[in-house]
Amino acid sequence: MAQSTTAAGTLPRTRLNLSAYGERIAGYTILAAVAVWLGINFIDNPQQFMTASVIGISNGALYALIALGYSLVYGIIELINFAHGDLFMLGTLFSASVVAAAFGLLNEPVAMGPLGWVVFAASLALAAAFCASINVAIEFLAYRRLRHAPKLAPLITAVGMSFILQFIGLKWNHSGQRDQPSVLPQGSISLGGVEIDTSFFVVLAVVVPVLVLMTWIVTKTRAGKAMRATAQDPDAARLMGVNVNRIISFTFAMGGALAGVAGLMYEQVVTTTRYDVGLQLGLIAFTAAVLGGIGSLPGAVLGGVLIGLIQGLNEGVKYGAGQRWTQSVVFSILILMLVFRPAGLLGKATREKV
Amino acid sequence: MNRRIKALTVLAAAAATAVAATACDSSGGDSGSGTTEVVVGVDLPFQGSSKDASDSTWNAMSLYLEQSGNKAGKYKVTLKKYDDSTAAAGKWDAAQCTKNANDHVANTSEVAVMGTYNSGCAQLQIPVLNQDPSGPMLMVSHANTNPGLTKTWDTGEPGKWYPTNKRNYARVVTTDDYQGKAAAQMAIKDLGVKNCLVLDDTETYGKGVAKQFADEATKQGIKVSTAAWDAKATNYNALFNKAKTDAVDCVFTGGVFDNNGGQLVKDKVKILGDNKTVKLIGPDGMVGYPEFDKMPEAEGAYQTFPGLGLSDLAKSPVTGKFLTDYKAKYGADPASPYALYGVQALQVILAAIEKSDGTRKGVTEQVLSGTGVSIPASTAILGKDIKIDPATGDVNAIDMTIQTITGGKETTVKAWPVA
Repeated sequence: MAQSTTAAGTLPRTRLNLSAYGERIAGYTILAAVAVWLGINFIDNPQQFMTASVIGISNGALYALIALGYSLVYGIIELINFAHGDLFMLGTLFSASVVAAAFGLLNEPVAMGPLGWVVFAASLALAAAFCASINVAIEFLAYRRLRHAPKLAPLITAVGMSFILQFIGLKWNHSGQRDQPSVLPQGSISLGGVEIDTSFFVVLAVVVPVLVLMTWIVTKTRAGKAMRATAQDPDAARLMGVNVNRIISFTFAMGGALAGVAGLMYEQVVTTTRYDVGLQLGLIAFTAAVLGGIGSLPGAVLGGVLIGLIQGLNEGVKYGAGQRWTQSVVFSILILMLVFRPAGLLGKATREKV
Repeated sequence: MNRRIKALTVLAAAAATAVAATACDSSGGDSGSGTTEVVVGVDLPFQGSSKDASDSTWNAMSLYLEQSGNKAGKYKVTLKKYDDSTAAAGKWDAAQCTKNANDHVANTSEVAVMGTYNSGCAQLQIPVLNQDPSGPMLMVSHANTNPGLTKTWDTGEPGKWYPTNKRNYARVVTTDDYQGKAAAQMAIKDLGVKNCLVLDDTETYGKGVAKQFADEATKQGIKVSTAAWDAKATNYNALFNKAKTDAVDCVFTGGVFDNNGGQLVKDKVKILGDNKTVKLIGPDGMVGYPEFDKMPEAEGAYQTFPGLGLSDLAKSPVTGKFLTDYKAKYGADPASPYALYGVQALQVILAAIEKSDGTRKGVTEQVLSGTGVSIPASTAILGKDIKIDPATGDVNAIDMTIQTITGGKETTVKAWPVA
């Protein structure tokens, strides 16, 4: 008895973790407040709410395409490639040039027809190839040399590359916004009073297969297996016969191709571009990748769509804060999310390898 | 003998130095000693969307000065270009405006500044020129319409722009308190607008003119909803979708075209319909941009211009001849009426230089103390008597023009009576 008492006395006391408890209450309170806000807006005007949601998802799908490229590269070499947004910007300019050259009708919208689809598909392939080759060149010329340098060195190099690409965009497009040609069908359709832009379906028709294709490549193919092996331990992968340099180049090619696809889709849907559009959208896409869980492909898509949705609702419903506050709202949500789920929505908490 | 030669050499060198110093003094222009050659700085955004308007203004001012024999009284006058925009920003840039202000002060031969185009840039430059130890240095703007630069407006205005408590700023254009009102009155009286979305671009100028429009529109019985447009937004579909639900029949764009105005107008037409269905009204921040005028979505848009349009100005014989000369020299009409307002600002500066002692302080005092500067209608490029109020720096000529975009060009609809 005395022994058991002694043993019980050595057991650690169960303490109420007030910090975790408070965090949980705060989290539920915020979620409840968001749910109430959504409910009030939906009840106030369901059609307005749904149309704003569709607009948000459409924009979010574009962010997702850019975020995929960020996540892919980060997943393999843990580099935040800040030049990715500017690569996307070059993609918008290149695809606009291809479409304009194909039709010879700069600054005039071209209705989608059979020829339009051909031009669209050709532009998609060319823009993907263009951005992939630039990304591979950047990796070969800059990042590869810094593979074993402290992490800060490639990060700063990426920032430098971002400025170089911006400068190219500035010389190419000048500083103002420029009207770009589109071959997508114009107008919108009404489903139960909800206005849906026809370009929305084209965006979804591109984003969903791209996500499926990326997931298939990473999870089912030999190259994907090598990518995952490189991500886990490059030295071990090398010992197993994986050509690490080639796999990293392949990853950059895929990331670049995604930037090219995103560039074409942005150019076709938004129909204007600026040389600094990559900085803004790159930042949003990076946020999306972090929100979804950086390194996770479905997470990048989820993060992108969520940010688009938040923006759409904030700007398009009666009790939204409006465009003046959109960035503040988005980043407040990101900060809150990181407080409660540091690894992001679909990210996995990992320990730093030592 | 040798000593004499040495002494003569020293004397000759001293004399040569004195002559050179005197020559430098008269040609370089010391603002404090009364010079015969002076410089007028021209501070405009020469890059980005405002490039065409700024180039026209520079060309018109250069032509006018050339026709005046490059003189103001006994002073030889030259213009010096200062670009307050950057290629990266594509419009006026705050850091560049501040740098230019310091450069104006540092250039000892410069006695006055013509500019700026943007009120936000003027807010940065006026206090720097105001505190110039050899000044204050005069600035005359042809395009700043924000009321707070010269009259009571936001908290602390206009005093906070003049740290020395002496005025050094004047303008030859009507202010936004008149412009916003005129646009709202036109919206209800001529266009029959009942429900308007009033947007601003979050800049000083945009917020000011949007507020004036919204206040007057409300007073006139128009239902008003307000919002901001973010120049860096992907698009404005959600913003206009909300407006569509609110059944607006008018959109007022308080801001400048440089702030992604092209995308804004495109999305407005896409979601709300063309400018006949839902009226699009813009202030002078949307005037003088060929890029905007040529957009199919701009067709039928209304604009207010705080002055007279080119066609009205051309009715004056002096201005008509000047415009003919301009076209003969540059092969086209000015891109914006602001080009002629630039000439008007230059006329004020030249008149002040002519009457002054050639110092910065002297030039400023001619405009902003005593009886001020007057330009008679027979010579004023605006075709009417021009007088600057020495107490405030505002101009007596208060005009407002309603324009519309037709066939890719800005066309004058009518002059609007300003109360």
